[in-house]
Amino acid sequence: MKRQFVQFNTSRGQNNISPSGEHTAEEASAQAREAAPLPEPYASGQKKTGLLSNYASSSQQETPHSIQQAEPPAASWAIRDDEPPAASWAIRDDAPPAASWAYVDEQQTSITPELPAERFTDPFMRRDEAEDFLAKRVSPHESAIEHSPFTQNRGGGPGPMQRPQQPPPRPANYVQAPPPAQQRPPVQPMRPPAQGWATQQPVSSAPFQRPGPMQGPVQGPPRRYNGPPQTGYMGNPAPAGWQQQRISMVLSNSAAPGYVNGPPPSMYSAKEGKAARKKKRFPVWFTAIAAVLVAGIVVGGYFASPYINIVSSSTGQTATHFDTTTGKNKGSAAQTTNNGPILSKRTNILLLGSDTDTKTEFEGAYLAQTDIVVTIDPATKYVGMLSIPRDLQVNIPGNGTGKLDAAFSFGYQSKKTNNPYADGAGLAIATIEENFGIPIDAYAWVGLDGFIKVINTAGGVDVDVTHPMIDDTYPNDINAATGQKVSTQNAYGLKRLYIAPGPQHLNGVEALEYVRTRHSDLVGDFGRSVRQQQVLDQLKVKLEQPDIIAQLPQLANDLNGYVKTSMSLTDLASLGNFARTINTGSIDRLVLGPPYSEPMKSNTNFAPVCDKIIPAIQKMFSLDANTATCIPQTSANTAGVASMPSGTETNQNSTMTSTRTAEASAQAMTQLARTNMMSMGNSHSDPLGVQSLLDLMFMVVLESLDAMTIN
Amino acid sequence: MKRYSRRETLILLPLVAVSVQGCLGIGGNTDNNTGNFKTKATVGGKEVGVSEAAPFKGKIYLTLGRNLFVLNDQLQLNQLTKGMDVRDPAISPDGKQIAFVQRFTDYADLLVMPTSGGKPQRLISGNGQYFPPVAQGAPPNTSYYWFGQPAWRDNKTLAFVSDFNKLNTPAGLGIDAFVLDPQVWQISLDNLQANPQLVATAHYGDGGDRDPAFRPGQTNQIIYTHYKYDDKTSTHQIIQIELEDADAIVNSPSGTYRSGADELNPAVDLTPAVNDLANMTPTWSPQGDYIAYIRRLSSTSMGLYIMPLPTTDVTKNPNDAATQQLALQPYNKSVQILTSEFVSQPVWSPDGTQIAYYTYNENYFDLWLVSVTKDAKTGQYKMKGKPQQLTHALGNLDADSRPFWTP
Repeated sequence: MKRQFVQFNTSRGQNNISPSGEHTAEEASAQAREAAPLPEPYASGQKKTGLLSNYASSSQQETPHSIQQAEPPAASWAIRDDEPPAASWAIRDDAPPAASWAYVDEQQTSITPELPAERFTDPFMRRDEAEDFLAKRVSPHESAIEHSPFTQNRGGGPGPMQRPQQPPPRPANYVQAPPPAQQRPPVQPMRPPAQGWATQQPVSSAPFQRPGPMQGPVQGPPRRYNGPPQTGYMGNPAPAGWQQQRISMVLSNSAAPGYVNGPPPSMYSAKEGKAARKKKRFPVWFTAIAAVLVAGIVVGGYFASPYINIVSSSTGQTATHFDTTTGKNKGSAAQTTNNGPILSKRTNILLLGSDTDTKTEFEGAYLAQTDIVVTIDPATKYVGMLSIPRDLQVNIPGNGTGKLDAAFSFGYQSKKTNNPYADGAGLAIATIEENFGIPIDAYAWVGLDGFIKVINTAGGVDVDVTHPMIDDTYPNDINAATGQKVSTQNAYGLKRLYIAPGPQHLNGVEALEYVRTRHSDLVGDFGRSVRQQQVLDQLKVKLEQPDIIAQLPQLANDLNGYVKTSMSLTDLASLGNFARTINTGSIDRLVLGPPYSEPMKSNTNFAPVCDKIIPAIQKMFSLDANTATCIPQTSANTAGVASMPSGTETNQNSTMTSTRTAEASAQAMTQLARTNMMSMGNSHSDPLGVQSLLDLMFMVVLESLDAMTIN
Repeated sequence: MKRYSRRETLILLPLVAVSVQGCLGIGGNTDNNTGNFKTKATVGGKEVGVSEAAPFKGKIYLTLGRNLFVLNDQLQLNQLTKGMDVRDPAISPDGKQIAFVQRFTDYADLLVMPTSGGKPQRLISGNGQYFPPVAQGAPPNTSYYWFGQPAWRDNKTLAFVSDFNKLNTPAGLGIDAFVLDPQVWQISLDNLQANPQLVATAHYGDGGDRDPAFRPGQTNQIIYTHYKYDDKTSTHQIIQIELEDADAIVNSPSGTYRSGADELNPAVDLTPAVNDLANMTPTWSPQGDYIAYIRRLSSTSMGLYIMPLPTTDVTKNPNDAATQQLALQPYNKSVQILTSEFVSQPVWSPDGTQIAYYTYNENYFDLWLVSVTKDAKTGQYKMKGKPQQLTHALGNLDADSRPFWTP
């Protein structure tokens, strides 16, 4: 309610009318607090005895206008006649009177003039604010106090609470309570208690205990009650000699012990007092927000529960231990365990990606087509990514030699534990450590089908297809119309692709085809990684749309079974946060394609060129000379290197399969490179695939944490 | 500390809610009947709106949800096909026939139908089969073919891109693979039994040719986009616009022009062969003296450009260095009309005053119009006014299917 104060009978006439001529009570109070900084002695906690005069003088000198505008002297301000007297009592609808009264109430309880420790019953009013408020309420009346009949009668000095009080309509059972001013602490040091008041304790028999202003021992004389000089008590016309009549009224009430005539009228009824105190402790808006938060937590928990399990089953996974059999780390534990927070130290994370299509599933194992080791130094924010081609021939502990992508598959099928993913990851980790001496702290495995499900849920992606994509031997293991896998009988079926160039929308299946085809450009996996990066970037954009929040459960479900990582949610969150702080352009990338590896004559494998690999990984992983290693495979110029056992390789060659001929000449060197890349389709580096998989893992994190999804 | 009353709180809370909603972008406009857009059709359960504030003259053919539609200047949007997976409509010069492509899982067919509607006629089908591998470990071959992007040379001759005859097109020396990359072919509607005639060759391995279009008034010349990798490293993509005598191959002795890795190109380059430079999707001005085209500026930015054509015939001796230099000179006079994240499939209006193109706005592809005007002194085009969004298709527009504009 907005109130309009009208000045009359002011003792400080020149500044009593606000510039606008209209103030809300809270505006006045707030302005007063803001405009009138406390004088130093007050702020330093001096007793109020000296503060009143200090404050009065300082406020007049420093910010008289603000103070008087904001907090008109009680004696000189009144509510317009058309305003309800009771309601007009409050300087602010809810705060000032209540705060001040509540303060008095607490002082009554403790029977001490000291202010409350931290706050008044108004939970958001500081001690100094309350003091300020009280002081400002008091100080303007000093001149009036000296001349009031009450103070003259009591022989006291200037009283602290001089504001005229107009109680609200009384309830039917109203019984007069002690006047609030009687409990006002500042009075005590300023003015000795009136004789007899100190021993008159109306508290125990006071009819209302709860209304703060109305209870408690009386430490001083009753508050001087000036009343509304013009409108009179309760809005009645003020009779002549009203002040004397009021005093008589108080003294004539015998209902309240300790008072000659019972306590003075209360500003609030008991019921109102309860409500007021509750309201002051928990404002409506505060309660509303708290209720909304609680409701949000409950509802959120209900809806989150189905996929929290999915996320938890994807994270915190273990890796089975496989002994290394050769190399400098022979016998060392090559498994990930709980090593504490992921980025508390230098961390190496193995990222594994598998095409979880029908044929690998049918065969009972997944190949890890993507093998990347990410090394992160949180102290220096160094990030290195080592991409190891899937075709690199390596020693697989317990399985002889073979392509790197088979390590996960062998482990998956090993049945060493009842967790094939842990077995697969464990053997892949052991293989990396044995062949390169790189310790692995954590791993993340991602199935591509989960990736496409996420794309579908996100509503597809919009990409600029960089050139026409033609593939006559694309695996026909997913029904383009339904997005479902075809029957296993057709798992090795083929289909043709022709994706037009240029910007366009791709649904999940089309996006999968776009990133998956290996036979559509000369640069082989490099081009494939570029495409993957395009789709991931666009997918990220899609996942940042606000309406994706509604899709979170489905997105989590899409990832079910397609993401396995040893990292915890906390680790993933840390990783995601860290990823956002680094410049991706500064990531140190190393691909163990040529010249770090060479094609082998006898098969489609690549042999590592150890002379180049060792110093490179020493530098990237900060390994000492005794740690970094590289196991030479049979020379690239010789045949006979064992390759992966038959039946586990699912290489689908393109129609562009080439055979190098004896006619290969200098001119054919370029062609040679082309044919290698085209025919093998999977031989070259995947540097951007590294980034893609990192992004993929990041997306997994987004799906796990709502807040990160909308970041 | 300032405290607020209940009343102020009640006022503030809705304001905060509205602000949060605005910041999060919740409640975006998905209504086609707001602003200048009026719903003209429903495709796939989604409304397709057309703007009343983007006037144009003639008819624009395009595909929405793989269905063929025609939008006239009265803002009527009429559906011509249904459930056929149609792409790339092209109207014959006499305006009586629509050629378009129908896609299937492994192949595509080329069809024509009257512009007034009626039953489509299948001109050529790409249906085929897979052949078993000729040797163990070798991949299977297939007689399936793709057809795409028909372009009328005259009312009886239709060009298109296709991997037709791929099994007889070796990739090159030392490579026993075939050229899968689509090349430009043409057929005569008067003799559909005859084999298609090769018009433009493809470079092995990067997608071949796209966007064929015959020059207005000089239909013996054809322009197209040519995709290839650099010869030195085969890692840098080079996408060029090329101009060619449409009869160069048929009039040359056998073997003069070859497809594949050692391609001998019958065309001249209108844009330079610079690593990672992409100039593509040319469209003729009505007079055939300019082309509008798209240049890829970065991974997230594309531009619409206009450049003049050489004033002399540069198609007769394409492998002559001096001729090639002459053909490249107008490229330096290219003027950027506009830029956006995605800009594609430009098509010049028959009256030459507007260019329609696809671009990306609010996560959807839509058809936009930009007015252009030519400076009489410099001969350079520039944008007039601001681009106007013509459709509000809510994801129904097939951005990979080029539109066609007729009077």
